[in-house]
Amino acid sequence: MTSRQGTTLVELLVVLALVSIMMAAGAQLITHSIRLLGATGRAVRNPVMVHVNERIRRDVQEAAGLTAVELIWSEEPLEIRTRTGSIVRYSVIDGSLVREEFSATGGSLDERVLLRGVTSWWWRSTAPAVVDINIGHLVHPPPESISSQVVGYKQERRIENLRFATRGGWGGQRW
Amino acid sequence: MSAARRLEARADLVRAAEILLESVRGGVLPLETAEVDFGEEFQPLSHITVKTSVEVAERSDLSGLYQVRVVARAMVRSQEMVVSITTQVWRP
Repeated sequence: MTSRQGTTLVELLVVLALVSIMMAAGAQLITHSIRLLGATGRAVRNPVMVHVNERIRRDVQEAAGLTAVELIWSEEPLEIRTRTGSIVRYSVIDGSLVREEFSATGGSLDERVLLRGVTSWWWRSTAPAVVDINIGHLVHPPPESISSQVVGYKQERRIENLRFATRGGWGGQRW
Repeated sequence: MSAARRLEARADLVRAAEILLESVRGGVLPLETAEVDFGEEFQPLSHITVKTSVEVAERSDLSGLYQVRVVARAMVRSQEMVVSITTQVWRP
């Protein structure tokens, strides 16, 4: 009497097929997770952009007025008159969004870079006490990791459409 | 990808509602209940069509104070997604 041990070819093929199916399912799950992670990153705005958004929002909402009104989109600096008489200026310098604050006499009070990797900057004020701002900025790779600001291959940028209304309507009673 | 699309769509709806609210506050849009078509004023980052509306109710206890609810909605993978913000607007 002989004993037959080992696996047949059919058994081996069945196992291979099962392993292949499991690997395919696993790969799909990993791919889906990576895409979801990327989408989450895009949906949940990056903290720097949230800070920029809140800073401009606060300046515009508490403003006494603008030094100049642009009815059509302008790339010029946005200058906001505060209620204390100082001037806050937003401008793009060497690919960075810079916020400067000047006293009523013109002396510099503060200057800081809010956002690097800025690819475009537009603003307008089509209605009194309303400011529209479009900021284009690099999302990937991080602006700190590249030397050129030119948008090219594998670079992803994003444009933020922002609209802010001044509280109090620049001296009025609206809120 | 459905979860990713829902996340991106929700972010767009939040932005649309914020812009709509600032438009009402700033007087770009009249303070009245209406369906609002932004046209090219608002461009979503995801591939959705956003519908927005404003609901206005004057507070009975204080003249000039209005309760405003802005609503942004879109169909995302055959499901309706809605984002709304309710606040007060002072317009004496």
